[in-house]
Amino acid sequence: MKHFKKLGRPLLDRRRFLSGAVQGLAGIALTTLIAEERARAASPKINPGNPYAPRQPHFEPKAKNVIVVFCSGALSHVDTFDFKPELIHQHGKPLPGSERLVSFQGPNGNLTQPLWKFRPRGQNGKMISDLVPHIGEMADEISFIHSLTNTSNTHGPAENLMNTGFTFDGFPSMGAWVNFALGSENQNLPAFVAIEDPRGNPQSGPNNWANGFLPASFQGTPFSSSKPIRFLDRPNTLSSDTDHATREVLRFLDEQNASRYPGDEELAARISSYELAGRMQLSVPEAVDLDSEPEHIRKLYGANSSNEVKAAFANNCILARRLVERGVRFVQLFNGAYASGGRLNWDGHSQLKEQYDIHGEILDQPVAGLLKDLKQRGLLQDTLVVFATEFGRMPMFQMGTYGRDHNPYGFTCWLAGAGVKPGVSYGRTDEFGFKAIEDIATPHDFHATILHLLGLDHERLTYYHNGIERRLTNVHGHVIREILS
Amino acid sequence: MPKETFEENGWRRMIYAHKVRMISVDIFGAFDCPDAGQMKPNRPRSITPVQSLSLLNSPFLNRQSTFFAERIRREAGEDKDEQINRAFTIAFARQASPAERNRLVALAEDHGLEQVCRVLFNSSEFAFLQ
Repeated sequence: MKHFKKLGRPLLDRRRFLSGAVQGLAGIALTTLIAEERARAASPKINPGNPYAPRQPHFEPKAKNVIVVFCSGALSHVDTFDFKPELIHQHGKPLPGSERLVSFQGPNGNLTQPLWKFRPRGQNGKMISDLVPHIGEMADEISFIHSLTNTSNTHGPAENLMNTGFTFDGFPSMGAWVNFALGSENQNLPAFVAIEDPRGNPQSGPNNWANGFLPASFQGTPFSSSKPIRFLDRPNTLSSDTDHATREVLRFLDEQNASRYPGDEELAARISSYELAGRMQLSVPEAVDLDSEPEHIRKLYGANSSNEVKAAFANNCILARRLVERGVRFVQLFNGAYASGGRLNWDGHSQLKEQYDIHGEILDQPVAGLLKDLKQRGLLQDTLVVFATEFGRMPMFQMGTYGRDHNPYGFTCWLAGAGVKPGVSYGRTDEFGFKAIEDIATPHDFHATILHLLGLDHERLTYYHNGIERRLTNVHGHVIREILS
Repeated sequence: MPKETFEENGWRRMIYAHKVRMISVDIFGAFDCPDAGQMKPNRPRSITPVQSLSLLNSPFLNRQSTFFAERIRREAGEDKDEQINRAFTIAFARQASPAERNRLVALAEDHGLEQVCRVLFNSSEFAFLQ
């Protein structure tokens, strides 16, 4: 060994031999574990040439399609679906135990009773307020979750968590995950559509329908009954003859090029993507054209309202139904826009009564109409309707205002339709609606449940990114089985 | 905000640029351009109809087609064969085959050289390096 020591250190001594051997063995064990973990993942292989091909779920699904109604700005649970008699009894008194609570915008004042009267609704007498009487009529169809919580009390990150499973930007949205997992039944329309509210986009904007690190094929395509898909139509300076001739030559060139590289799927896919684009130019206007809807259907949704915003949102609800009818897998339907002091969304910090009277009128009848219409057409059997918001609002008014501050500790979302046990309430907030105290649910539980209804195991639906098999539910989430039929 | 206009005062060579996180750029966004929300060491390659629509119909692409057509006229004159040769040399670094030349000359004659340029910008040969 003597001559080795001339190098300054022994190349191999007993200590190094042992530590090296242990690390090596541990490395082998770890590699095996990772390989097993990845084999357990059951994520689809995507053919880039046909990214929207229908794909099998992990197990028999209850739901084929999803419509998410998302109330941006944080809808007050204590004024809508979560009835708290104690708030009426103790109206004007401080919240016991949290008398000096400082929340998102500052100090809170006293407990404030619901600003709308609650009444029993449906056969089961579920207490729902007069702010949403039409939705109340559908109470027997709905499964309420009263114990949702959010880790953020700020609109953007909280919306992100509700729609992507992470508070940070840049993670795939639930619709993108579903599109990635299941593909599409309709090859002439986008598989995932984000219908924008007539008043504007939610606070975290396109991140709500982003593909994140999933391939761009799976991003939501934003359009609405009043706002078309961007660049859907040919430039208005071109005649249809010119456009047609140009596309014929393009097809000829691309086929010539593809014939030079036989077996190149991407080249074939590109040709078919131009064909699909051409079919979308026909099928999207057909789906968006609501003129064919009869008067009684338009009335059911409130699309005949003289309130322009309500009529536009009602048209969006009709569009959501038409998309689902045509095999669009995942539709997001936004109600409410960005942070605007509660003017354009549910962020009722200062004038909750006045603002919610306006917003409730816009939300209530159209969403109830959607539920009723889906039901009468038999679509509710295959379609899951999700009603969500980013968090709730405080049982108190803010100090010196007529509104409620952000409350991520307990709020209400609901599910209806395919695979959902109708007419039940799950979880509970305390007697004031301040914090969830029973069967506390996280957005991950909510997502795991929605994926489960689509036949997907949230722990097996993964995408390898940056060294991690990523999931919609991060490393959390339990299916809420109590609300499944 | 994404660029809506493409006027001359905005034309400059880019060495670095402001990248606003989570603002997807009209054309690039459809082409898997990272939204800068998270690190993205690998860029997936998607092929979607939304890409095709934006390459065919966006004002940006059609305006660039006009510029390309102006350049070809300037460099190749009014002869249609020469124009197609020049366009192929610039876009694909090769000559057009006789069949290709015939189709594109016909398109230029019937619908204008701008449409030839719109075709070239949309073609797979232009979009992909093989």
